[in-house]
Order: sequence, then structure tokens, then C-alpha cells
Amino acid sequence: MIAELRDAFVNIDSNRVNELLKKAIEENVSPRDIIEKAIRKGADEVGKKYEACEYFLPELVMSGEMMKEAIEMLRPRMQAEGATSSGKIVFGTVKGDLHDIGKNIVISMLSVAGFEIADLGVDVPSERFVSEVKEKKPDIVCMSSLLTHTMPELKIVIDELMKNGMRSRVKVMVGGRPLTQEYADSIGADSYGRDAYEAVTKAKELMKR
Amino acid sequence: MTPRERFMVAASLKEPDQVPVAFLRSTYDATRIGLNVKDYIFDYRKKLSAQIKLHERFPGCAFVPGLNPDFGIVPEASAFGAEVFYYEKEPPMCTPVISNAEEIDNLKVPDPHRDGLLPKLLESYRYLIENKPSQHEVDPQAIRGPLDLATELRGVGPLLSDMYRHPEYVHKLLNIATQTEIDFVKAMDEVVGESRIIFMCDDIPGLISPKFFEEFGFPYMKKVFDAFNKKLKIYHNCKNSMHILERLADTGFQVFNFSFENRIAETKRRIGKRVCLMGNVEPIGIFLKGSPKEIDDICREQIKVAGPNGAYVLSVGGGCYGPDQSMDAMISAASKYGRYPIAVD
Repeated sequence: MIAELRDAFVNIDSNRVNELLKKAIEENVSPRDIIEKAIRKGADEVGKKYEACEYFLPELVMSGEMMKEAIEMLRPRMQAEGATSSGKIVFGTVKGDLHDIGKNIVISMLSVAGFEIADLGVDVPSERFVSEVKEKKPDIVCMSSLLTHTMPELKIVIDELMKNGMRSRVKVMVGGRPLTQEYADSIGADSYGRDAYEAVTKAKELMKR
Repeated sequence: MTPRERFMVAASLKEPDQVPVAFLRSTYDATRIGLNVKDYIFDYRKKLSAQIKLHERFPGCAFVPGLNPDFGIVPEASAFGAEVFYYEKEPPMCTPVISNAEEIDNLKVPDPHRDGLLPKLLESYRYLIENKPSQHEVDPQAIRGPLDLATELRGVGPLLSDMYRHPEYVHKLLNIATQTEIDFVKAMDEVVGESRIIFMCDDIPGLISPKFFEEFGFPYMKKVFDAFNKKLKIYHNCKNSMHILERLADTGFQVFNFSFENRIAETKRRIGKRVCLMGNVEPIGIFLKGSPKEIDDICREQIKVAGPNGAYVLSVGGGCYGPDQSMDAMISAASKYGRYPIAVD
């Protein structure tokens, strides 16, 4: 069952993935096994195929969507079994920026890694980031910027968190195509994720700090 | 030869007197003379003046398109009701108009004389034609490719996902997008007489597999190009397209402004006898941030690889903006190393 589910995932057969997920839930297969051995391994394989130019962006988008759907289907079981959260994240694309493909893929990967995510969507003003941090008390704020002219918004949010006395309570991770580690350092972010895989690793590292 | 004449000779797969240089024009040009982008778009007099100033500052290169309405990437989507956002220094952007695939059934091909920004654009086009100095040529607005317009209307992620989940709706949307572009070009021709060129921008083919390009890209791009047989067709794609090069060229364009991610020697070898290549200096690290010496070195190398036998225009492989010194360096490199016949080592 697990191998079949992983193969369906790798083949981007979303209908089959849903069927097998339902079956696995009915048959009481451990959600942890489903996520670790089928979904995460399937997503890793899709990522490798993308790197090898066997797969392209539609396959990466579908992989993200299938991960998200799997997490939604498994969430009640995971909660019932008392699965622990890896951490709480508030995530959004900054003001003036309408891009969300990268953000959505990173969110899916973080969800599979056990993080609870509040997705604020795109074009999120700094005040909203601040109010969400105040209300949801996340461990990490993730911000995405895909345009050179929206990059300064990242620093604006960090400054606003500082002004509101919340900066020390929350870690800040940034990402997006035009960003670099140097830029992230220059604006005072705690971490920078080059891609979805690195974002997961970095988020886990931040939780240990 | 003028830079535009050189460009046209290279576009006809021949050797001009030297390798031409051409830059893509965009609303970034407004910022060169301190104009707000929105003012630039809607104040036709300022726009004409800004574009002419750019030509006068860089007499050694052509611009693609030449003087043109330059409304950015949003006019077609605006005709479907997409909300347009303007920025002071960046091109305008718009949000999708469809939130699920089924809504595609509600879309209709817009009327370019009535819907969204298109009537203003046609008005701006007429203004340019009627007020340009005689030595300048006016080109039509750059158009979106069908896939590019479809992603503007539906969103990139959702459209790519629909290719798996709702392919029948993707075809419906692409048919509408294709007809929209054809009607838009015809409307521009009706206003001012038939134009010489059509300039299509579409990066999405570079993001999808050869199989999906065959299904969702090729037929629709070809239909647009086929509708305008007499025009010179220029196609811009700033994503890596090595995986679909030959089929892209089969769609019917004559000039290919290709990505810096493409390997230029291989691109020349595979399609360089069928289409004129325009590119492909790396836009950020080199053209935006590099020194004139770095740009000179890269241009010399590119001319050596792609210049022999003509059908080559030296340009940037993506992006639309570079500082004056980078443009000067590229123009200077073309005149230093690009005189025909070009020696091959």
C-alpha cells in the first residue's frame, strides 16, 4: 500500500493518490508511515526528477497540492493520535507581491515536516504580519518576495516587529527568487531558505535555537 | 545602415554590415528619465518624449518594439476585468480573474475597442503614429502569448495544476486567449494600418514539459503567428527552452529572443539556420551589475559563437533593464567585434 501510494504520487496521479489515502486511513495505516514513507519520499522523488529536467513546474505544483491534500486528509487522525507539532509558522508573500507558487510549495513541504502553518496569502501588509504574530504567537514568521521592488518590504516587517516589541519572541525566515543569504543577513532576518527543501531544514534549525 | 535596418537584415537570416544590437523596451524606460510609470503609460506626450530620448541617447542600437504604446504586460488581462496595480518604478501587474476552472465557461473574448485598457492603448498608438518625428518608426504593443495570457487570467500555479486536473478547461481558456491576441493585433492594424512586426512574449513554454508544450503551447502559438503571415514575428522567452527548441521554432517566428539559461552554441546549432537568434547575455549578474569590461568580454564571446553567417542580434537574455554603461558597453562590443565577415577561430 505504501509503495503503491508513493508510486502514484511520483506519477502525479492525484486521483489514485486520493483513493489510496482513503484506503490507508480505513485500514488504519499509521499517518506517520503514510507521510514519511509515501508522501515525503514521493515528493523527494518528484524533486529529483525536477532537478534532472524530467519533470517541470506543473509537476512541482501538483506535488505541492497533493502534499497539502494528504495532510488535510490525515490531520484528524494525526490529532487523534496526539502527533506533536514541529512548530507554528505564520507565512505570507509581502505587500505589493502577488506571487504564490514558491510560497505554496514551501508551505506544503513544511506541513509534511509537521509544522502548523497559518497562510496569510499574497500582498500581505506589514501591519497584518504584526497583528498575526500578536494573535497566533508563532515560532517563526516566513516571508516570500519574488520581485526586486518588494524586497524592501521584508525589512519593513522586521522593523515593525521590532517597534512592536515582538522581534525577540519570533524567528524570521525569508525566501524568494531574487534573495540571497547576504541580503537576508543585511535586513536582520534569522534565516534564508534558497528553496523548499532548504526552507524545511532551516525551519527545523530555527526551532532548536 | 541604421540599427533598425541591421536588425531587419539579421531577421531575414542574412549578414548586415555588423552584428546588430537590440534591447527590449519596457515601462522601466520611464524611470530612466524620472517619470512615474503610471504617468508614462497614460500621458502619451511624455511617453513619446521618453521613448525618443532613449533612442537619441543610444543611437547605436535598435529597440524591440520601436516607439510603441508600452502599456506593460496587463492590457489584454485588463480587458477581462483583471484588477491592475500600478507602481512608481516597476511595470504594472494584475490579479487573476478566475478562481476555479469552471469559471472559464463564463469568459468571453473581449472587444479591443471597448474593454479594459485596450481602447486607451489604441488611442495611445494612434497618438504615437500621428505625432512621431518622421525618422522614427512606430511598432504595435508587445502581445502576450496564449499561455502567458492564460496564466494571467487564471494564475500561474492554478493553470499549471489545471493541466493535470482539468485539461479540457485549459484548452477552452487557451482558445479564448488565442482569439483575444489575434483580435488585439487586428484592432491595432485597423487603427493605424498594417504594422510590420508582431512581438510576442511568453515564458510559460519554458516551464512545462515537451509533452505539455505539444498539447497546450504549440497549437495556440502557431495559430497566432499563422494569422499574421506578412509580419515579421519576434518571440521572447526568458526561461530555459532547450527542451523544446525545435518545436518552438516550428511555431513560425523569425526572431527568437532567448534566455540566458539556454546554451548559445547549441541553440545556434539546432535552430540558428531557421531563425534569427537574439540574445543572450545574462541579465542580472552581468548586464545589471557587471562592469563594462565584463560585458565586453561576454559580448565578444557571444559574437564569436553566434555571429558567423549572420542571423544574429546581440542582446540580453531576459530582463528589460540595464544601466546606461552596460548598454554602451554592449553597443561598443558589437561594433568592435561584430563587423562582417566575422573570423571564426
